[in-house]
Amino acid sequence: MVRGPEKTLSALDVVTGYGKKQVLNGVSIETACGEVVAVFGHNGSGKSTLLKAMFGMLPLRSGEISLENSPLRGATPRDLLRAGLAFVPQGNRVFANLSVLENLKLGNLMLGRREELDENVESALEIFPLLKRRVRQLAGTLSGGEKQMLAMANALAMRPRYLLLDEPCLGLAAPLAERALSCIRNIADQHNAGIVIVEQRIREALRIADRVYVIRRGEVSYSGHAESLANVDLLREVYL
Amino acid sequence: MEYIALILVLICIYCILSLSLDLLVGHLGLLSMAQAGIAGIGSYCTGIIAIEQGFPFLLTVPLVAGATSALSVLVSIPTLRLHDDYYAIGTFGCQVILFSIFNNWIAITNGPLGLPNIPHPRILAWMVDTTSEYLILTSSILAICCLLVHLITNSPLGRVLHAIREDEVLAKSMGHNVVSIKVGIAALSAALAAMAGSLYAHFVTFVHPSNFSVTESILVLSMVILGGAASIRGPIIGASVLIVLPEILRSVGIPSSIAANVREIVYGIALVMMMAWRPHGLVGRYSFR
Repeated sequence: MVRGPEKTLSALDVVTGYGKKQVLNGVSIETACGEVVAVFGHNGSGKSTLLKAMFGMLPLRSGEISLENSPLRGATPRDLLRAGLAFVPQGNRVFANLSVLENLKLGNLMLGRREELDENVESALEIFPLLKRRVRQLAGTLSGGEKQMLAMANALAMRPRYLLLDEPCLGLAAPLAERALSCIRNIADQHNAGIVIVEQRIREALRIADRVYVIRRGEVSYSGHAESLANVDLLREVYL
Repeated sequence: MEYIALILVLICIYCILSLSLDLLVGHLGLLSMAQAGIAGIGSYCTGIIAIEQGFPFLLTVPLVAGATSALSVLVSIPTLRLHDDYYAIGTFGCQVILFSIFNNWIAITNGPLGLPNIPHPRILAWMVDTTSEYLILTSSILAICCLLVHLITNSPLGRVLHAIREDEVLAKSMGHNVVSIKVGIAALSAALAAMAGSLYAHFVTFVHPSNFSVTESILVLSMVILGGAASIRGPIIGASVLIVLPEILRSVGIPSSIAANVREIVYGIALVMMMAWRPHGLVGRYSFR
Protein backbone atom coordinates (compact mmCIF):
# COMPACT_ATOMS: atom_id res chain seq x y z
CA MET A 1 0.00 0.00 0.00
CA VAL A 2 1.54 3.28 -1.13
CA ARG A 3 0.32 6.41 0.52
CA GLY A 4 1.54 9.92 1.11
CA PRO A 5 1.85 11.16 4.67
CA GLU A 6 -0.65 13.96 4.00
CA LYS A 7 -3.55 11.57 3.31
CA THR A 8 -4.59 11.26 6.92
CA LEU A 9 -7.36 12.02 9.35
CA SER A 10 -5.89 13.05 12.66
CA ALA A 11 -6.96 14.14 16.11
CA LEU A 12 -4.28 16.05 17.98
CA ASP A 13 -4.35 16.60 21.76
CA VAL A 14 -8.14 16.50 21.85
CA VAL A 15 -9.69 17.67 25.12
CA THR A 16 -13.47 17.47 25.41
CA GLY A 17 -16.30 16.33 27.67
CA TYR A 18 -19.90 16.80 28.70
CA GLY A 19 -20.81 19.78 30.89
CA LYS A 20 -18.38 19.93 33.79
CA LYS A 21 -17.08 16.41 33.17
CA GLN A 22 -13.92 16.26 31.09
CA VAL A 23 -13.74 12.90 29.31
CA LEU A 24 -10.73 13.20 26.98
CA ASN A 25 -7.56 14.76 28.34
CA GLY A 26 -5.44 15.28 25.27
CA VAL A 27 -5.94 12.30 22.97
CA SER A 28 -4.07 12.06 19.67
CA ILE A 29 -4.82 9.46 17.01
CA GLU A 30 -4.34 9.22 13.28
CA THR A 31 -5.50 7.08 10.38
CA ALA A 32 -4.41 7.06 6.76
CA CYS A 33 -6.29 6.12 3.59
CA GLY A 34 -6.54 2.34 3.24
CA GLU A 35 -5.74 1.80 6.92
CA VAL A 36 -7.89 0.34 9.69
CA VAL A 37 -7.15 1.79 13.11
CA ALA A 38 -8.78 0.16 16.12
CA VAL A 39 -9.48 2.02 19.35
CA PHE A 40 -9.91 -0.10 22.47
CA GLY A 41 -10.69 0.76 26.06
CA HIS A 42 -13.00 0.07 28.97
CA ASN A 43 -16.57 1.32 29.03
CA GLY A 44 -16.46 5.02 29.89
CA SER A 45 -12.84 5.44 28.83
CA GLY A 46 -13.82 7.98 26.14
CA LYS A 47 -13.75 5.96 22.89
CA SER A 48 -17.19 6.98 21.63
CA THR A 49 -16.62 10.52 22.87
CA LEU A 50 -13.50 10.64 20.72
CA LEU A 51 -15.44 9.65 17.61
CA LYS A 52 -18.20 12.17 18.35
CA ALA A 53 -15.59 14.90 18.79
CA MET A 54 -13.87 13.90 15.54
CA PHE A 55 -17.22 14.12 13.75
CA GLY A 56 -18.10 17.58 15.08
CA MET A 57 -20.93 16.33 17.30
CA LEU A 58 -19.12 17.44 20.43
CA PRO A 59 -17.21 20.73 20.67
CA LEU A 60 -13.49 20.57 21.42
CA ARG A 61 -12.20 22.35 24.51
CA SER A 62 -8.76 22.28 23.02
CA GLY A 63 -6.82 20.33 20.42
CA GLU A 64 -7.46 19.94 16.75
CA ILE A 65 -9.01 17.58 14.22
CA SER A 66 -7.52 17.78 10.76
CA LEU A 67 -8.33 16.09 7.49
CA GLU A 68 -5.46 15.80 5.04
CA ASN A 69 -3.65 18.68 6.73
CA SER A 70 -6.72 20.97 6.76
CA PRO A 71 -7.85 21.84 10.31
CA LEU A 72 -11.54 21.22 10.93
CA ARG A 73 -12.18 23.53 13.88
CA GLY A 74 -15.86 24.43 14.16
CA ALA A 75 -16.86 22.15 11.27
CA THR A 76 -20.38 20.70 11.49
CA PRO A 77 -21.20 17.06 10.62
CA ARG A 78 -22.55 18.32 7.28
CA ASP A 79 -19.23 20.06 6.49
CA LEU A 80 -17.35 16.90 7.43
CA LEU A 81 -19.53 14.66 5.27
CA ARG A 82 -18.89 16.99 2.35
CA ALA A 83 -15.18 16.82 3.11
CA GLY A 84 -15.32 13.00 2.95
CA LEU A 85 -15.70 11.88 6.57
CA ALA A 86 -18.64 9.71 7.70
CA PHE A 87 -19.67 8.40 11.11
CA VAL A 88 -21.66 5.28 12.00
CA PRO A 89 -22.95 5.67 15.57
CA GLN A 90 -23.24 2.85 18.06
CA GLY A 91 -26.16 0.41 18.18
CA ASN A 92 -27.24 -0.77 14.68
CA ARG A 93 -28.90 2.58 14.09
CA VAL A 94 -31.18 2.70 11.09
CA PHE A 95 -34.39 4.58 10.36
CA ALA A 96 -36.75 1.76 11.30
CA ASN A 97 -39.90 3.09 9.64
CA LEU A 98 -38.18 3.89 6.34
CA SER A 99 -37.34 1.33 3.68
CA VAL A 100 -33.77 0.16 3.10
CA LEU A 101 -33.65 2.24 -0.08
CA GLU A 102 -34.95 5.38 1.65
CA ASN A 103 -32.32 4.90 4.35
CA LEU A 104 -29.60 4.73 1.72
CA LYS A 105 -30.84 7.85 -0.06
CA LEU A 106 -31.09 10.14 2.95
CA GLY A 107 -27.43 11.01 3.30
CA ASN A 108 -27.02 11.88 -0.37
CA LEU A 109 -30.19 13.98 -0.32
CA MET A 110 -28.73 15.97 2.55
CA LEU A 111 -25.52 16.48 0.59
CA GLY A 112 -27.53 17.63 -2.42
CA ARG A 113 -26.05 14.88 -4.60
CA ARG A 114 -29.19 14.08 -6.54
CA GLU A 115 -27.41 13.28 -9.80
CA GLU A 116 -25.08 10.75 -8.18
CA LEU A 117 -27.78 9.36 -5.90
CA ASP A 118 -28.53 6.10 -7.75
CA GLU A 119 -24.88 5.42 -8.51
CA ASN A 120 -23.83 5.97 -4.87
CA VAL A 121 -26.65 3.80 -3.53
CA GLU A 122 -25.76 1.06 -6.03
CA SER A 123 -22.10 1.14 -5.04
CA ALA A 124 -23.03 0.81 -1.35
CA LEU A 125 -25.28 -2.15 -2.19
CA GLU A 126 -22.42 -3.80 -4.11
CA ILE A 127 -20.50 -3.98 -0.84
CA PHE A 128 -23.48 -5.54 0.97
CA PRO A 129 -25.26 -7.64 -1.68
CA LEU A 130 -27.56 -9.14 0.95
CA LEU A 131 -29.29 -5.75 1.23
CA LYS A 132 -30.01 -5.69 -2.51
CA ARG A 133 -32.80 -8.20 -2.08
CA ARG A 134 -34.34 -6.12 0.67
CA VAL A 135 -34.33 -2.60 -0.70
CA ARG A 136 -38.12 -2.25 -0.42
CA GLN A 137 -38.28 -3.79 3.06
CA LEU A 138 -38.73 -1.60 6.14
CA ALA A 139 -35.36 -1.25 7.87
CA GLY A 140 -36.93 -2.02 11.26
CA THR A 141 -37.78 -5.54 10.08
CA LEU A 142 -34.16 -6.45 9.25
CA SER A 143 -32.16 -8.76 11.53
CA GLY A 144 -29.47 -7.30 13.81
CA GLY A 145 -26.67 -8.17 11.39
CA GLU A 146 -28.55 -6.76 8.42
CA LYS A 147 -29.26 -3.56 10.32
CA GLN A 148 -25.57 -3.17 11.03
CA MET A 149 -24.79 -3.72 7.35
CA LEU A 150 -27.38 -1.09 6.45
CA ALA A 151 -25.91 1.32 8.99
CA MET A 152 -22.51 0.94 7.32
CA ALA A 153 -24.04 1.06 3.84
CA ASN A 154 -25.78 4.34 4.78
CA ALA A 155 -22.41 5.86 5.54
CA LEU A 156 -20.72 4.31 2.48
CA ALA A 157 -23.48 5.60 0.18
CA MET A 158 -22.08 9.06 0.90
CA ARG A 159 -18.73 7.97 -0.62
CA PRO A 160 -16.54 8.85 2.36
CA ARG A 161 -12.76 8.68 2.25
CA TYR A 162 -12.64 8.26 6.00
CA LEU A 163 -15.06 6.31 8.17
CA LEU A 164 -15.61 6.39 11.94
CA LEU A 165 -17.31 3.24 13.25
CA ASP A 166 -18.57 3.06 16.82
CA GLU A 167 -18.84 -0.56 17.95
CA PRO A 168 -20.14 -2.02 14.68
CA CYS A 169 -20.31 -5.52 16.20
CA LEU A 170 -22.36 -4.55 19.25
CA GLY A 171 -25.09 -7.13 19.79
CA LEU A 172 -24.03 -9.35 16.89
CA ALA A 173 -23.45 -13.09 17.20
CA ALA A 174 -19.83 -14.15 16.66
CA PRO A 175 -20.16 -15.29 13.01
CA LEU A 176 -22.01 -12.08 12.06
CA ALA A 177 -19.43 -9.99 13.88
CA GLU A 178 -16.64 -11.75 11.94
CA ARG A 179 -18.47 -11.04 8.70
CA ALA A 180 -19.02 -7.38 9.58
CA LEU A 181 -15.35 -6.96 10.45
CA SER A 182 -14.17 -8.60 7.24
CA CYS A 183 -16.46 -6.21 5.33
CA ILE A 184 -14.75 -3.33 7.12
CA ARG A 185 -11.33 -4.64 6.07
CA ASN A 186 -12.56 -4.94 2.49
CA ILE A 187 -13.84 -1.36 2.51
CA ALA A 188 -10.40 -0.14 3.55
CA ASP A 189 -8.60 -2.30 0.98
CA GLN A 190 -10.88 -1.95 -2.02
CA HIS A 191 -12.02 1.66 -1.56
CA ASN A 192 -8.82 2.94 0.00
CA ALA A 193 -10.82 4.35 2.92
CA GLY A 194 -9.22 5.28 6.22
CA ILE A 195 -11.20 3.67 9.03
CA VAL A 196 -11.26 4.29 12.77
CA ILE A 197 -13.13 1.53 14.55
CA VAL A 198 -14.05 1.51 18.22
CA GLU A 199 -14.62 -2.09 19.24
CA GLN A 200 -14.98 -4.26 22.33
CA ARG A 201 -14.23 -7.53 20.51
CA ILE A 202 -10.49 -7.12 20.79
CA ARG A 203 -9.29 -10.41 19.28
CA GLU A 204 -11.52 -10.16 16.23
CA ALA A 205 -10.73 -6.50 15.68
CA LEU A 206 -6.98 -7.13 15.97
CA ARG A 207 -7.25 -9.47 12.98
CA ILE A 208 -8.41 -6.68 10.68
CA ALA A 209 -6.64 -3.66 12.20
CA ASP A 210 -3.33 -2.24 11.03
CA ARG A 211 -2.72 -0.14 14.10
CA VAL A 212 -4.21 0.08 17.56
CA TYR A 213 -4.78 2.74 20.22
CA VAL A 214 -5.83 1.92 23.77
CA ILE A 215 -7.55 4.66 25.76
CA ARG A 216 -7.58 4.66 29.56
CA ARG A 217 -9.24 7.40 31.60
CA GLY A 218 -9.31 9.77 28.68
CA GLU A 219 -5.69 9.32 27.62
CA VAL A 220 -3.92 7.13 25.09
CA SER A 221 -2.18 4.45 27.14
CA TYR A 222 -0.82 2.51 24.19
CA SER A 223 -0.40 2.90 20.46
CA GLY A 224 1.29 0.58 18.05
CA HIS A 225 0.91 -2.08 15.40
CA ALA A 226 -1.93 -4.53 15.78
CA GLU A 227 0.41 -7.55 15.76
CA SER A 228 2.28 -6.25 18.79
CA LEU A 229 -0.91 -6.25 20.86
CA ALA A 230 -1.54 -9.89 19.96
CA ASN A 231 0.92 -10.56 22.78
CA VAL A 232 -1.45 -11.42 25.63
CA ASP A 233 0.79 -10.07 28.38
CA LEU A 234 1.19 -6.73 26.71
CA LEU A 235 -2.55 -6.58 26.03
CA ARG A 236 -3.26 -7.26 29.69
CA GLU A 237 -0.73 -4.64 30.76
CA VAL A 238 -2.10 -1.82 28.63
CA TYR A 239 -5.76 -2.71 28.88
CA LEU A 240 -6.27 -3.65 32.52
CA MET B 1 -78.82 23.64 7.33
CA GLU B 2 -77.31 26.49 9.31
CA TYR B 3 -76.55 24.04 12.12
CA ILE B 4 -74.77 21.62 9.77
CA ALA B 5 -72.76 24.47 8.24
CA LEU B 6 -71.74 25.56 11.76
CA ILE B 7 -70.52 22.06 12.60
CA LEU B 8 -68.63 21.90 9.29
CA VAL B 9 -66.93 25.26 9.98
CA LEU B 10 -65.79 23.98 13.38
CA ILE B 11 -64.55 20.77 11.75
CA CYS B 12 -62.53 22.81 9.23
CA ILE B 13 -60.96 24.94 11.98
CA TYR B 14 -60.08 21.92 14.09
CA CYS B 15 -58.74 20.13 11.01
CA ILE B 16 -56.28 23.01 10.46
CA LEU B 17 -55.34 22.89 14.14
CA SER B 18 -54.82 19.12 14.17
CA LEU B 19 -52.86 19.25 10.90
CA SER B 20 -50.59 21.82 12.52
CA LEU B 21 -50.09 19.53 15.52
CA ASP B 22 -49.50 16.52 13.27
CA LEU B 23 -46.45 18.25 11.79
CA LEU B 24 -44.87 18.02 15.22
CA VAL B 25 -46.40 14.82 16.58
CA GLY B 26 -46.66 12.66 13.47
CA HIS B 27 -43.85 13.90 11.27
CA LEU B 28 -41.25 14.95 13.85
CA GLY B 29 -42.25 12.69 16.75
CA LEU B 30 -42.56 15.60 19.21
CA LEU B 31 -45.53 15.18 21.52
CA SER B 32 -46.63 18.79 21.96
CA MET B 33 -49.18 19.61 24.62
CA ALA B 34 -49.40 23.34 23.88
CA GLN B 35 -51.24 23.53 20.56
CA ALA B 36 -54.42 25.04 22.03
CA GLY B 37 -52.31 27.66 23.79
CA ILE B 38 -50.61 28.57 20.51
CA ALA B 39 -53.98 28.78 18.77
CA GLY B 40 -55.04 31.00 21.69
CA ILE B 41 -52.21 33.43 20.89
CA GLY B 42 -53.60 33.58 17.35
CA SER B 43 -57.15 34.14 18.60
CA TYR B 44 -56.28 36.84 21.12
CA CYS B 45 -53.93 38.67 18.72
CA THR B 46 -56.66 38.56 16.08
CA GLY B 47 -59.24 39.88 18.53
CA ILE B 48 -57.02 42.71 19.75
CA ILE B 49 -55.86 43.71 16.25
CA ALA B 50 -59.35 43.49 14.72
CA ILE B 51 -61.11 45.34 17.55
CA GLU B 52 -58.56 48.02 18.36
CA GLN B 53 -56.78 48.55 15.06
CA GLY B 54 -59.53 47.52 12.66
CA PHE B 55 -57.03 45.71 10.44
CA PRO B 56 -58.57 43.80 7.50
CA PHE B 57 -58.67 39.99 7.57
CA LEU B 58 -56.10 39.60 4.78
CA LEU B 59 -53.61 41.56 6.84
CA THR B 60 -54.57 40.23 10.26
CA VAL B 61 -54.15 36.52 9.51
CA PRO B 62 -50.60 36.64 8.05
CA LEU B 63 -49.57 39.14 10.72
CA VAL B 64 -50.87 36.95 13.52
CA ALA B 65 -49.43 33.78 11.95
CA GLY B 66 -46.03 35.46 11.52
CA ALA B 67 -45.97 36.88 15.07
CA THR B 68 -47.02 33.56 16.63
CA SER B 69 -44.45 31.77 14.52
CA ALA B 70 -41.71 34.13 15.72
CA LEU B 71 -42.82 33.65 19.32
CA SER B 72 -42.78 29.88 18.88
CA VAL B 73 -39.18 30.07 17.67
CA LEU B 74 -38.21 31.82 20.91
CA VAL B 75 -40.10 29.24 22.98
CA SER B 76 -38.85 26.30 20.94
CA ILE B 77 -35.15 27.06 21.43
CA PRO B 78 -35.14 25.77 25.03
CA THR B 79 -37.90 23.16 24.58
CA LEU B 80 -36.45 21.54 21.44
CA ARG B 81 -33.43 20.49 23.44
CA LEU B 82 -35.82 18.20 25.29
CA HIS B 83 -36.73 14.75 24.03
CA ASP B 84 -39.65 12.35 24.28
CA ASP B 85 -41.53 12.63 27.57
CA TYR B 86 -39.46 15.64 28.63
CA TYR B 87 -40.60 17.55 25.53
CA ALA B 88 -44.23 16.72 26.34
CA ILE B 89 -43.75 17.96 29.91
CA GLY B 90 -41.96 21.11 28.68
CA THR B 91 -44.75 21.99 26.26
CA PHE B 92 -47.32 21.17 28.95
CA GLY B 93 -45.58 23.83 31.04
CA CYS B 94 -45.85 26.29 28.12
CA GLN B 95 -49.57 25.51 27.83
CA VAL B 96 -50.11 26.20 31.54
CA ILE B 97 -48.22 29.51 31.26
CA LEU B 98 -50.21 30.58 28.18
CA PHE B 99 -53.53 29.73 29.82
CA SER B 100 -52.50 31.66 32.89
CA ILE B 101 -51.62 34.69 30.75
CA PHE B 102 -54.97 34.54 28.90
CA ASN B 103 -56.78 34.28 32.22
CA ASN B 104 -54.85 36.85 34.24
CA TRP B 105 -53.44 39.55 31.97
CA ILE B 106 -56.67 41.47 32.21
CA ALA B 107 -55.43 44.71 30.60
CA ILE B 108 -54.78 42.87 27.33
CA THR B 109 -56.98 39.75 27.30
CA ASN B 110 -59.85 40.97 29.50
CA GLY B 111 -59.13 37.94 31.70
CA PRO B 112 -62.00 35.60 32.60
CA LEU B 113 -64.52 37.95 30.98
CA GLY B 114 -63.11 37.10 27.57
CA LEU B 115 -62.77 39.30 24.51
CA PRO B 116 -66.15 40.07 22.90
CA ASN B 117 -67.23 41.85 19.71
CA ILE B 118 -64.57 40.56 17.36
CA PRO B 119 -65.82 41.53 13.91
CA HIS B 120 -66.56 39.04 11.14
CA PRO B 121 -63.90 39.13 8.46
CA ARG B 122 -64.07 41.24 5.36
CA ILE B 123 -62.03 40.12 2.37
CA LEU B 124 -61.82 43.05 -0.06
CA ALA B 125 -65.47 43.66 -0.92
CA TRP B 126 -66.69 40.33 0.50
CA MET B 127 -68.18 40.57 3.99
CA VAL B 128 -68.10 37.07 5.43
CA ASP B 129 -70.99 37.20 7.86
CA THR B 130 -73.09 34.10 7.27
CA THR B 131 -72.12 30.60 8.35
CA SER B 132 -72.28 29.29 4.77
CA GLU B 133 -69.88 31.99 3.60
CA TYR B 134 -67.62 31.24 6.52
CA LEU B 135 -67.69 27.58 5.53
CA ILE B 136 -66.45 28.52 2.06
CA LEU B 137 -63.64 30.58 3.63
CA THR B 138 -62.52 27.98 6.18
CA SER B 139 -62.73 25.04 3.75
CA SER B 140 -60.64 26.99 1.22
CA ILE B 141 -58.00 27.74 3.85
CA LEU B 142 -58.10 24.09 4.98
CA ALA B 143 -57.51 22.97 1.38
CA ILE B 144 -54.48 25.29 1.13
CA CYS B 145 -53.13 23.97 4.45
CA CYS B 146 -53.59 20.36 3.28
CA LEU B 147 -51.72 21.12 0.07
CA LEU B 148 -48.92 22.83 1.98
CA VAL B 149 -48.53 19.94 4.44
CA HIS B 150 -48.71 17.41 1.60
CA LEU B 151 -45.99 19.21 -0.36
CA ILE B 152 -43.70 19.46 2.66
CA THR B 153 -44.15 15.95 3.98
CA ASN B 154 -43.78 14.31 0.56
CA SER B 155 -40.65 16.26 -0.35
CA PRO B 156 -37.05 15.36 0.53
CA LEU B 157 -37.55 17.56 3.60
CA GLY B 158 -40.41 15.25 4.62
CA ARG B 159 -38.05 12.27 4.49
CA VAL B 160 -35.62 14.16 6.68
CA LEU B 161 -38.41 14.93 9.17
CA HIS B 162 -39.22 11.25 9.39
CA ALA B 163 -35.54 10.45 9.78
CA ILE B 164 -35.29 12.85 12.72
CA ARG B 165 -38.43 11.30 14.20
CA GLU B 166 -36.90 7.83 13.92
CA ASP B 167 -33.42 8.56 15.26
CA GLU B 168 -32.12 12.02 15.97
CA VAL B 169 -28.52 10.94 16.57
CA LEU B 170 -28.44 9.02 13.30
CA ALA B 171 -29.97 11.97 11.46
CA LYS B 172 -27.23 14.19 12.91
CA SER B 173 -24.60 11.68 11.84
CA MET B 174 -25.94 12.00 8.30
CA GLY B 175 -25.29 15.71 8.44
CA HIS B 176 -28.82 16.97 8.97
CA ASN B 177 -29.10 20.16 10.96
CA VAL B 178 -31.65 18.74 13.37
CA VAL B 179 -32.10 21.85 15.53
CA SER B 180 -32.76 24.19 12.57
CA ILE B 181 -35.23 21.77 11.03
CA LYS B 182 -37.09 21.31 14.31
CA VAL B 183 -37.26 25.06 14.91
CA GLY B 184 -38.48 25.65 11.34
CA ILE B 185 -41.23 23.04 11.58
CA ALA B 186 -42.26 24.28 15.04
CA ALA B 187 -42.58 27.77 13.52
CA LEU B 188 -44.69 26.48 10.63
CA SER B 189 -46.86 24.46 12.99
CA ALA B 190 -47.38 27.54 15.16
CA ALA B 191 -48.30 29.64 12.11
CA LEU B 192 -50.98 27.13 11.08
CA ALA B 193 -52.29 26.84 14.65
CA ALA B 194 -52.46 30.65 14.91
CA MET B 195 -54.34 30.76 11.63
CA ALA B 196 -56.86 28.27 13.03
CA GLY B 197 -57.13 30.42 16.17
CA SER B 198 -57.64 33.51 14.06
CA LEU B 199 -60.43 31.87 12.04
CA TYR B 200 -62.05 30.71 15.28
CA ALA B 201 -61.97 34.21 16.78
CA HIS B 202 -63.54 35.79 13.69
CA PHE B 203 -66.17 33.05 13.47
CA VAL B 204 -67.28 32.95 17.11
CA THR B 205 -66.60 36.72 17.57
CA PHE B 206 -65.68 36.02 21.21
CA VAL B 207 -62.64 34.39 22.75
CA HIS B 208 -62.36 33.11 26.30
CA PRO B 209 -59.43 31.49 28.17
CA SER B 210 -61.35 28.23 28.54
CA ASN B 211 -61.23 27.81 24.74
CA PHE B 212 -57.45 27.38 25.02
CA SER B 213 -57.02 25.27 28.14
CA VAL B 214 -55.04 22.06 28.63
CA THR B 215 -58.24 20.12 27.91
CA GLU B 216 -58.39 21.70 24.45
CA SER B 217 -54.76 20.75 23.79
CA ILE B 218 -55.58 17.18 24.77
CA LEU B 219 -58.63 17.28 22.48
CA VAL B 220 -56.46 18.31 19.51
CA LEU B 221 -53.90 15.65 20.38
CA SER B 222 -56.74 13.12 20.57
CA MET B 223 -57.81 14.12 17.06
CA VAL B 224 -54.33 13.35 15.73
CA ILE B 225 -54.02 10.08 17.63
CA LEU B 226 -57.54 8.87 16.83
CA GLY B 227 -57.40 9.70 13.13
CA GLY B 228 -53.79 8.65 12.74
CA ALA B 229 -50.56 10.59 12.77
CA ALA B 230 -48.22 11.42 9.86
CA SER B 231 -50.97 11.60 7.28
CA ILE B 232 -53.33 14.26 5.95
CA ARG B 233 -56.42 12.09 6.23
CA GLY B 234 -55.77 11.09 9.85
CA PRO B 235 -56.13 14.50 11.53
CA ILE B 236 -59.09 15.33 9.28
CA ILE B 237 -60.91 12.13 10.22
CA GLY B 238 -59.95 12.56 13.89
CA ALA B 239 -61.20 16.16 13.99
CA SER B 240 -64.43 15.22 12.21
CA VAL B 241 -65.18 12.33 14.57
CA LEU B 242 -64.44 14.27 17.74
CA ILE B 243 -66.41 17.36 16.69
CA VAL B 244 -69.44 15.33 15.54
CA LEU B 245 -69.36 12.98 18.55
CA PRO B 246 -70.73 15.49 21.13
CA GLU B 247 -73.52 16.38 18.74
CA ILE B 248 -74.46 12.71 18.48
CA LEU B 249 -74.31 12.38 22.27
CA ARG B 250 -76.62 15.36 22.55
CA SER B 251 -79.03 13.90 20.02
CA VAL B 252 -79.37 10.63 21.96
CA GLY B 253 -80.80 12.53 24.88
CA ILE B 254 -77.92 12.80 27.32
CA PRO B 255 -78.65 15.85 29.52
CA SER B 256 -76.41 18.80 28.68
CA SER B 257 -75.32 19.03 32.34
CA ILE B 258 -73.49 15.70 32.06
CA ALA B 259 -72.87 15.67 28.29
CA ALA B 260 -69.49 17.44 28.66
CA ASN B 261 -68.30 14.90 31.23
CA VAL B 262 -69.52 11.97 29.15
CA ARG B 263 -67.75 13.42 26.14
CA GLU B 264 -64.44 13.57 28.00
CA ILE B 265 -64.91 10.02 29.26
CA VAL B 266 -65.53 8.92 25.67
CA TYR B 267 -62.34 10.74 24.54
CA GLY B 268 -60.37 9.04 27.29
CA ILE B 269 -61.73 5.59 26.45
CA ALA B 270 -61.06 6.19 22.74
CA LEU B 271 -57.44 7.16 23.46
CA VAL B 272 -56.82 4.12 25.69
CA MET B 273 -58.38 1.80 23.10
CA MET B 274 -56.37 3.31 20.26
CA MET B 275 -53.11 2.96 22.18
CA ALA B 276 -53.91 -0.64 23.04
CA TRP B 277 -55.24 -1.93 19.73
CA ARG B 278 -54.55 0.56 16.98
CA PRO B 279 -51.56 2.74 17.91
CA HIS B 280 -51.29 4.15 14.40
CA GLY B 281 -54.88 5.50 14.59
CA LEU B 282 -57.66 4.90 12.10
CA VAL B 283 -55.67 5.73 8.95
CA GLY B 284 -52.28 6.91 10.23
CA ARG B 285 -48.81 5.88 9.13
CA TYR B 286 -46.95 6.41 12.39
CA SER B 287 -47.36 4.21 15.42
CA PHE B 288 -46.92 5.66 18.89
CA ARG B 289 -45.65 2.31 20.19
